[in-house]
Amino acid sequence: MSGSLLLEKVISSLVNTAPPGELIGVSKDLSSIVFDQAGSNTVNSSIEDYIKENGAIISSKYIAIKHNKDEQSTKYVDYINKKKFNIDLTANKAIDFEDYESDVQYPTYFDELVGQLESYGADHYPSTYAFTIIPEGNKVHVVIIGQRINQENYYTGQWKSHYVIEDKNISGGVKLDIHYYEDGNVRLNFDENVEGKLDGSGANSIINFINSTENKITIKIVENFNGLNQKSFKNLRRLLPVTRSKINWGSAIGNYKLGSDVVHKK
Amino acid sequence: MSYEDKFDASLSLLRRLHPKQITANLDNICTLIQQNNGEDELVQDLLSSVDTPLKVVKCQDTGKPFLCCDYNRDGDSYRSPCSNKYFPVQADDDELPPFPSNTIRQLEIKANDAFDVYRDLYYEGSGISSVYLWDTEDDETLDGFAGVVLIKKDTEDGSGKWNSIHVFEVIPESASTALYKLTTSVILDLKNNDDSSLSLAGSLTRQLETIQTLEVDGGSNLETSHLINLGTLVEKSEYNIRNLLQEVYFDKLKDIMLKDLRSVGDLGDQKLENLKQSELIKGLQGL
Repeated sequence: MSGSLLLEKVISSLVNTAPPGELIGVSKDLSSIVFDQAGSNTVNSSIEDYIKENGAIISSKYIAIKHNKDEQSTKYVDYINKKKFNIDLTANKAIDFEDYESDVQYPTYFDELVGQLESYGADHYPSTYAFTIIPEGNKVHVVIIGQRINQENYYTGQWKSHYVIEDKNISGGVKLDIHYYEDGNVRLNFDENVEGKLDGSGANSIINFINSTENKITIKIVENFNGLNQKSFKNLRRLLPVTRSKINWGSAIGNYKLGSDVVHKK
Repeated sequence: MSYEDKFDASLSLLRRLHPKQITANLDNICTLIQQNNGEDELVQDLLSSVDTPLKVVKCQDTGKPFLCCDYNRDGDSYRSPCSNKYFPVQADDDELPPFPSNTIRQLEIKANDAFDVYRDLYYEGSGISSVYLWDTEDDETLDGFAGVVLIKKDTEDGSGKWNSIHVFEVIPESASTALYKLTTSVILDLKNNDDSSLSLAGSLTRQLETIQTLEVDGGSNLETSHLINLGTLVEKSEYNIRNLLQEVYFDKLKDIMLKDLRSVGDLGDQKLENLKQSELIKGLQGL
């Protein structure tokens, strides 16, 4: 493999494991290691690919993802405000706004759904919240991201849902990614696909489906936490030995061995 | 960029990127460093300061499995604590690999036995433990030495993976006291295998220091003192970090999800919301 191809492969596989809320930091760290211009360019294009593939909140309120990427330019389309924008990767900001009128067909419920998603966010997303609606042929994408960046308390996290609506069919998935790094590096990941039928054709039925799906998933995750704690963690390493007292270290430690050999009938 | 800048940036990156891919990420960062100027020292320093999940190798002499980390590594071979030999066996023309002095090796054998009992008691009879010691002074006595205690356990269904790495240094303080400096890291991976993809993975690190007295009126007593002091310290540190893991993996992460990312109840009435959620969780815990 040639040097630059190897560099590209190595950098993109590093970037792909970045927490969604820490792209700026990851890009800075990587640039300190690669140092030359070609390396920095590769870091930037890997970050761009990451945003396109996974979606991201830009300027705390816009969403960029492959589905609203403008094919003719470097920009992303905001169908709600009818604008196009570029991303300044160093500051994670939307820049170079221009008006944009797409010839794609908007669904009739579009404006109503915008309003519903706004109040849905206010009700259920306590931190930074962004959503976008992307009409694409017969399909409509709804992308929702809730994000918290709390560097002072060493954590960042993102809840991302993506739904595709086609007539009365709705499918998609929810991804949760939390990073906690005080004196360590701990990561939570959860990923689940959903599929269902809408019980109507308007914005109401869409928001009801989203709300009840996301409530169910949140409760399921809480259950899974308890399951992992009880089933996998609790006896992985006991809190105390069966004797319920700490070990008597020293020359008599061999006695435990004798005791355990008797119990296990060795 | 200076050596320090690159070293710090590499550690900062490894603290951000996914802990489950730590081995591959460390490897990739080393590749990046080697591509630009090939700073071998930086690569070696990174390999010795980043904890990765422990590998298991079989001791060809005794048939027993043992744990591997940078501290028992020489090239691609690892020293077995059972036989004091390197596996896979190295080519004859190689430079002689490092071995502990005879005094330290004797203590190492006893430490392996003692921590095997510890592993048996705390890890419910399963898992593997290995202890490696090395001299920090030239005089080959027990006046100053260092070591690492390793424990690895996977649950049978693969839903839980535990790796303990306790690195310590023993520094003589006076004729009858020594300072013990311990850094404990636990790499813990938990994954729901049944009906969900929930995965909690990563590592936490903590340090402990203590000054302890030593029995100095005879060689075997001194050995015993070190084993008692080290055993007690590792046991305490692992107890603390286990509680911390419980707190971070189960309370902290759950709180971040419910309070920072998506709440089940309506945020419009925060009080009602808090009440609902605590009831909900209580209800679920009662299941």
